[in-house]
Amino acid sequence: MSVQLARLLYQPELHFRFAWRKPVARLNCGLLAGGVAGAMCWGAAMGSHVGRAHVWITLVKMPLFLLFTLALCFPLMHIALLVSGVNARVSQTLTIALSGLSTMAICLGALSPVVGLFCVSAPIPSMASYLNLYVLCFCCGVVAGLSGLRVLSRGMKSLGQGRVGRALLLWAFIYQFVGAQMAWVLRPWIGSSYGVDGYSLAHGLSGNFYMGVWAVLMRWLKEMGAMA
Amino acid sequence: MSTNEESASSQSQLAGAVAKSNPMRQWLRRWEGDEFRLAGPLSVGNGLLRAQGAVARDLLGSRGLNTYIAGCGIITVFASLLYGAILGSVNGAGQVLYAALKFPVVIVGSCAVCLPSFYVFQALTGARLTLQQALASVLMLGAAAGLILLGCAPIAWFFSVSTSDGATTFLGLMHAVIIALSTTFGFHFLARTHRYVAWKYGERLFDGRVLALWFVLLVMVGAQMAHFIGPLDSGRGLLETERGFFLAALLDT
Repeated sequence: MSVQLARLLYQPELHFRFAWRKPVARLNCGLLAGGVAGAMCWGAAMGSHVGRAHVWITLVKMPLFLLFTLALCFPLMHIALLVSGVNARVSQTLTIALSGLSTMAICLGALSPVVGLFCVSAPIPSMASYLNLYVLCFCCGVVAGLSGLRVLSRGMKSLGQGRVGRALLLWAFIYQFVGAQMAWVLRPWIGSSYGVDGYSLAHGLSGNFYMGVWAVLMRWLKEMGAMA
Repeated sequence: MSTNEESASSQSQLAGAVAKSNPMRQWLRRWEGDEFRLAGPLSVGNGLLRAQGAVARDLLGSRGLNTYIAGCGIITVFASLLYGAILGSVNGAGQVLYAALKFPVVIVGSCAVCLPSFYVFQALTGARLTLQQALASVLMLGAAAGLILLGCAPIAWFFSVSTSDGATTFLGLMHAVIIALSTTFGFHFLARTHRYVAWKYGERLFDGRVLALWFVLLVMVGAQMAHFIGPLDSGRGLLETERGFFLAALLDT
């Protein structure tokens, strides 16, 4: 498995060339395992801000977040790939998606000690440190996401002709659109409604990410109008 | 190398350069290379996604049209049934069955209502289209849209179950965008089929302007039928209809 993951990180082209030569089931299991390990490290690092049971909860939630989002998006992602002219089988689409996702999760896992340090050492409860940690996690997420997109692009190109750029944009949009709501459902990540441990599905299912963003935007605009 | 050979070589190089610089040529080349063996109605979806060029050639040559009609019909009904159930789930479990039954009626009904106008106006403008080809074309639009609806179904379901009652505007907007995207994809397939046939055979399977105008008509008919049958109206029974113009209802909301 370590050879597969090393090949994925160092030489994505070679990784995909090997992948298309033989049945991909074993390779997919390896990618899944690598991705889950990376995501768990990242989850534990985020949970360490609050500590206690929250570490274990986010450790479990992070791989679930990535995999549930992939499960929901996969049919549309496969269709997007086909209509962009990349003629892939379902198993090939899964391999490409898992390769991108694993790369992203491994990058997040590699950054988790840094995030973990900041999370453990940030003052609590403090709104300022909470927001700073969010910005740090967002930046790490962008770096990891770009690395994942790079591997996705190589994977799509390895299948031959087609409008890879368009397919890549569609994949990124679909995964982000669903991922944002999934993250909302599985919240909290960094904080934990100070004093309340654990996770509540009822709390997760209340509201909607995009409506929440809209409400915050409207509040800002109103406050800016009042200031003006 | 003789002068003729040199000129042919430079012409092919020029054609290649034009083809590379022109994005339309790229999809035409892809469609030209598409191969698809029709292996029953259930394989039609595969053809619509992977080998649109082969499907367009089959449509023009009237090959396996009955299988295409059956396959596209099954996909359209199944996809709209599933998506209808998801639409209904916004208004509680009771509406799931009603919406699942009403939404296919809206989709298939709109196609049926618009089929005669499609055939007659295409024929009037000089398109070479039989009634069977017209039926297959309209159902292909429905099936292509249905495939996108099927792809979006898990995402729409997830947003429906994870969004509280206060965000119905968001859900309505999301469903509207998904339905608009899927319908546009269906129309895009027919428009490309028209351009491909014109490019490859120099023939007019459809008239482009009539196709565009007819699509506007189809959207209006779909909206009116949705307003009349009301798959999303939680206050209505299964067979209860409501008279009125969809645009007025839209402006009211």
